[in-house]
Amino acid sequence: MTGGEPILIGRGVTKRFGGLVAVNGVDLEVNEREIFGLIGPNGAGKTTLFRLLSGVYAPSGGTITLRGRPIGGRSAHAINAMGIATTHQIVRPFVDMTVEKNVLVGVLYGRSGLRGSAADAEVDRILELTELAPHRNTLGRSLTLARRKRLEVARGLGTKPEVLLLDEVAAGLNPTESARIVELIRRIRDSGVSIVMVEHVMKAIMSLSDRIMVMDLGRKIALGTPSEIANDPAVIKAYLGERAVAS
Amino acid sequence: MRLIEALISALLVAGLYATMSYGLALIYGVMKIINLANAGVMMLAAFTTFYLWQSFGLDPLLSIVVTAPLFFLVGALIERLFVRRVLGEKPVISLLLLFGILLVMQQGASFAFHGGDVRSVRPAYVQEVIHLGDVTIAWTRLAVFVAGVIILVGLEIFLRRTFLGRAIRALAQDRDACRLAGIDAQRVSMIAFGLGSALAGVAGSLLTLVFAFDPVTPFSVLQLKSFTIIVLGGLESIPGVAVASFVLAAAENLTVTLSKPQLENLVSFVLLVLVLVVMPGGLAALIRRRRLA
Amino acid sequence: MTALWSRFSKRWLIIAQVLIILVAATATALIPIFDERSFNLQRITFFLLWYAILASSWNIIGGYAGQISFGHAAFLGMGAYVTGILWSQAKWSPLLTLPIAGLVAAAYGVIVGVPTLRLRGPYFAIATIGVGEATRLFFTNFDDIFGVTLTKGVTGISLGGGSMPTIDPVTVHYATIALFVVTMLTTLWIRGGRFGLGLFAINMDRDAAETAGVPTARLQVLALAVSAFFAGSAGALYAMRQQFLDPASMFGFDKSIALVLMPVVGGLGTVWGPVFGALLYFPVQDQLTRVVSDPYLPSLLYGVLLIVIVMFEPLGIAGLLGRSTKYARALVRPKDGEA
Repeated sequence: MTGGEPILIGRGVTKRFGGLVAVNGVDLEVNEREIFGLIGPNGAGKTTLFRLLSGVYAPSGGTITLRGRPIGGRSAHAINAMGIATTHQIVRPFVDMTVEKNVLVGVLYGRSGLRGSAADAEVDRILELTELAPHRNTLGRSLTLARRKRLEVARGLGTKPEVLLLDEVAAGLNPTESARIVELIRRIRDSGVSIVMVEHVMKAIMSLSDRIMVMDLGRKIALGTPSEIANDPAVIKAYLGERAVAS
Repeated sequence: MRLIEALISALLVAGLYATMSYGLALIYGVMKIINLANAGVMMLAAFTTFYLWQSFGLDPLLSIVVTAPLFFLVGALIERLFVRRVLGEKPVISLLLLFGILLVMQQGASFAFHGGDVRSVRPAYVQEVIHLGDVTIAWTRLAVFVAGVIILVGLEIFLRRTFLGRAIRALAQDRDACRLAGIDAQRVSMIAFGLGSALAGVAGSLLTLVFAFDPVTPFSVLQLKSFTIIVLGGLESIPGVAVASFVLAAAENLTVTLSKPQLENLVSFVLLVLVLVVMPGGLAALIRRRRLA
Repeated sequence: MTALWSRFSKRWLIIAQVLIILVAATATALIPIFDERSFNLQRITFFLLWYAILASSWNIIGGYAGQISFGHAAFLGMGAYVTGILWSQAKWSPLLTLPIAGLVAAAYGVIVGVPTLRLRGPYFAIATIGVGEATRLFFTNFDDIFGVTLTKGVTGISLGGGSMPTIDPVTVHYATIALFVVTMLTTLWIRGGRFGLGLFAINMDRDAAETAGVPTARLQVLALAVSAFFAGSAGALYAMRQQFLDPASMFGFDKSIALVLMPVVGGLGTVWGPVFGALLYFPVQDQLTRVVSDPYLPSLLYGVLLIVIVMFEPLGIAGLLGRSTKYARALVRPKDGEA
C-alpha cells in the first residue's frame, strides 16, 4: 500500500433527483498517494458520485471534505482552487490553442501560483511527464483521441491538484494507448497526487487501483484491494455475475 | 373594472407577442442560436402583407396563407446557405452572421421602400368594436389574438403528434443522442429554422392590423420584447413563451393604466433586467426547480 | 531549443509592436506643428484614432472574451455625458473629467455584466441590445426624470461656451493620442498575458475553462469593465472635440453598427485587427456619406460585408494578411494558433 493519510473524505453522501436516490449514504476515504477505483454496473450511481466529488452537483445529504474543508456547493473553479482537478469523459481541449497553451491555462489559473518563466518551466515538466512534448505546438483540434486524453490529464495536472479525478480516461483507446495511459497514471500517483478513477476498462482499473470501491443501486457494496474485490461474493453477485468474464 | 379591461387587453396583445417569440424559442431549442434576423423577417412579412392588401385587396388575416409558406422558405434558405456553415464555430460567429442578415434586411427595405414612410393597413373593419358588458374590445385585436392562438395550438399539435415534430423536440433535448438515433439533424434544423421564420412571418402579417410601421419601427422594439419574453420563458421552453408573453403584456398594460404611457417600452427592459438578476433560467428553470426539490 | 527560440522571438515581437504604437503616436503628434492652419488633417487624425480606440475597446469583450456587445454605444455615450455634465454644470476642466468618464462607464459595465455574464448562453448579447436602447432613452429623458435642465433631451447640449472652461483643439489632439497609446498597450498586454489566455479559454469552451481553474464570470466582467472604461474615455474625447452632445450622435444606430463592424472586418480577437477596421471604416464612411445621397445604402453594404467576412474569413483583414506573409502573420497573431 502506498496510501498515507486520508485527504478526501465523504460521510453519508446522498444525492436525490426528485424521487430517485442516485447515491445513498455513501462513506468513502481517499488516501494520499492512492489510486482509488470506482466501479459498478450501469446506473449504480458512480458517475453521480464522481460529479459530487468534482462539484458539478451539490450533495442532498452528507458531507464531502478535502483536508477537512467542505467542498459542497462551490463553483467548479473554486473546487479546482481547493485542489481537486477533473478530466471529462468527453475530452474538451481548447481546440484553437496549442497543446502548450492548453497546459499553460491550467498552470496560470491553478494553485501553483507560478508566473512567467517559472510557469513555462512547469509546462515543460508536465509535457515531458505526459509525453506530449513533441506535440507542444500542435493545435488542440488536430490531436488524436489518445493525445487529447493525455492533454486533458496534463491540463488538470497543471493546476497542481492534490486529487485528480479521472472519468473514463481509458475508454475508446486501443490496448497500446491504454497501457501508456495506465503508466502515466502510475507516474502521476508517484509524484504525490491522489487519483480517483471511474473506469469501464476493467483491466486498467484492476491493475492500477490500490483500492476499489464497488457501487450498486446507489450504495457502497464493497471496498478493498483489487484481489479482495474480485473474490467478494456480493460483488460477484451484483456486478461480475452479470458479466461472467470481466476483462 | 379598469383592471379587468387591462388584463383582457393584455391577453389580446399576448397572442401577438407569443406568435412573434415562439419562433425564437423553437430555433434556440434546436440550434442553440438566437435568431437576430427574426425582427427582419417580421418586417418583410409586414411589407408583403401591405402590398398584397394594396394591390389585390387581400385581407391581412388571409395573407398569412402567403406569408407563412413564403417565409418558411426564406428561413430554410437562410439556414441552408448561411447558418449551417458556421454552426461548428464559436457562438460569436453565428450571432454576427445573423446581425449581418438583419442589417441587410432592414437597411435593404429602407433603401427599397423609402425609409421613413410609414405604412398602415386599414381594412373596413378596422374601427369596429365588440362590447362585452362594460369592456370594449377592438375587433382587430381580437382577430389577431384568435389567429395567433389557432396557429400556436396547431404548432403544438404538430410538435407533439407528427414524426417531424417529435424529431424537432428530440433534437432540442439532446443533439448527440438524435444523431445516434438516426435523425437527420441538418434537415430537421433547416425545417425548424423555416418554421421559426414562418411564425415570424405570421406575426408580421398580423401586426399590420395593430401597428403602423416603417422598416425599423416598431420592429426593433418588438425584437427587444421578444427577447425579454424568451429569457423570461427560459430560452427554449414553448409553454414558457406563452406565460411570459402574458406577463410582459400585463406588466405593460398595468404600467400604462396606472402610470405614464411613455413608460410602456421601458417595461420590457426593466423586466429583462429583473429576470436576469432574480431568476436566471427564467420561468422554465423555476418550474424545474420546484419539481426537483 | 525550439521552445527557447519561440520565447526569444515572442519578446522581440512585443517590442516591435510597442515600437509601432510609439511611431504612430509620434507621427500624429507632429501634425499640429506642421499643420497649424489646416484643421482637416487634425480632424481626420482625431477620428481615425478615436475609432481605433473604440474598436479596440469593443474587441476586448467581443473578440477576446467572445461576448458580443450590441449596445457598446451605451458606454461611449455614458462617458460623453459624464464629461458633458461635469464640464457644463460643475465647470470642471474637461481633461480632468476624462478618467471619471471612463470609470463611470466601467462601473456601468460591471452593473450590466454581473447578472448577465455569470449565466451560460447568449444572455449578455441579448441584454446589451436592451441596455443600448435603455441608455439612449435615459439620456433623452434625463431632464424629465430628474426635473432638471442638464442634457436638454433630443436637442443636445453645447459645451465650452459661456462660463465653462475652454479647451483648445491641440490639447484634445494630444489627449487622443495619449488615450490611443494607453488603449493599444493595454490590449497588447492583455493579449499576451495571463488575463488574455484566460479570456481565450473561456471564449473557446467555458466549461473546460472553469474546470481548469479559470474564474470565468469574474474574468469576463473584468474584461467588460476594461472595455467600457476605454469606450467611456473615448466618449469624453468626443465631447471635448465636438463640444456638442445629443442622443442621436452618441446612441444612433450607425454607431452600434460601426462598433461591431470595425473589429470584425479588421480581425476579431487580434491586437491590430480593430485598428485596421478603423483605418478602413472612417475614410469609407466619410466618403460614402458625401457621395451617396441615400442614408441607408452604406449600412446595407456594411451588412453584406459583415456576412461575407464572417462566412469566408472570420479573422478579417488580419486573417488575409496572416495568409500572405510570415511577418504579417507574426504581427497579427503573435501567439501562433490562437484566435
